[in-house]
Amino acid sequence: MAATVVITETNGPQASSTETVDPSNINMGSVDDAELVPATYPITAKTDGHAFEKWLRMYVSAMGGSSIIDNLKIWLSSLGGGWKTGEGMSTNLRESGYVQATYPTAGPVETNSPDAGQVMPETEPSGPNLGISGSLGGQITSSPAYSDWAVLQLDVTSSTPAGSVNQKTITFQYDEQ
Amino acid sequence: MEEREEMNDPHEIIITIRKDSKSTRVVQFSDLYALQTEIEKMIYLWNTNCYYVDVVNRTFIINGGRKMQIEKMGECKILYRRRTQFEKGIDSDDSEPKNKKINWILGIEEIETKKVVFVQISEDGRNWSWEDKL
Repeated sequence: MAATVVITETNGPQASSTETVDPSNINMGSVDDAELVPATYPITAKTDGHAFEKWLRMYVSAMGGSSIIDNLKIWLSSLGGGWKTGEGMSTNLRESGYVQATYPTAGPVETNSPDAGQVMPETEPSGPNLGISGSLGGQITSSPAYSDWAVLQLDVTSSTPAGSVNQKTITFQYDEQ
Repeated sequence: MEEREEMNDPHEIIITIRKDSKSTRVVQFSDLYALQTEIEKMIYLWNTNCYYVDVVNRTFIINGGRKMQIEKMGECKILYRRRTQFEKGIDSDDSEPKNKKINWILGIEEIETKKVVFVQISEDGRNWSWEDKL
């Protein structure tokens, strides 16, 4: 029997935030909602344009007989047809110099994220890039438990063409012992 | 993850039953998963670049066919890991579940130096690779 691990997305100001457990997608757009419809909430192409941040955590609801869960990695495993002009993704995920992010009091922002200062990896990181209790070497040993926050933000520029961007895939990975 | 180039067959895991070296079979994931509670010890064979995996009632050799550039280990302990990947779509209207992949990892760690070698095997048992550490 294996552990039960899913993604959660949190939206809204901290005091009234809502959490969506195991969202069907992590679509990004101009509204701070889980499972948003991109066509309804498009991102405006402009200088220093951004979607609302996504604040995600890996959530362990059951250890399933495992004693340790660790080695958390998140990366873009497919870009679909690739990036559009001016399109990119920022994150707080990193393999060194890691700093634990704190959920913002006012909630996710649509401006340039102060937490997502790294380029989102497009290949599997060689080591963990998301921490547990503030450390990349941290371990989850009981449930329920969360990882640290993973902050993602889609970025555009005034050069980004109108229309849909390509559908991408993000991979989440963890180890059980 | 580095895919080694010198494996005998990168697409199959061949296990040779020690007591009958002529008998070989391809290991499926279900067999490997079941090994977790049955392995008694696991020894790296420095001269032949194989693993001896001593299992209750039977002894296997996991033959990597790879000359590994590591020092001879002393006393070792066995490590087990189950590695799970799952996917989510971004900018997608598709709400269908994405792929979920599971790899099974067997490893040994030298107790004194903490040097670790892992064998990573895919869920379907058809892809495997070595890595010297996680």
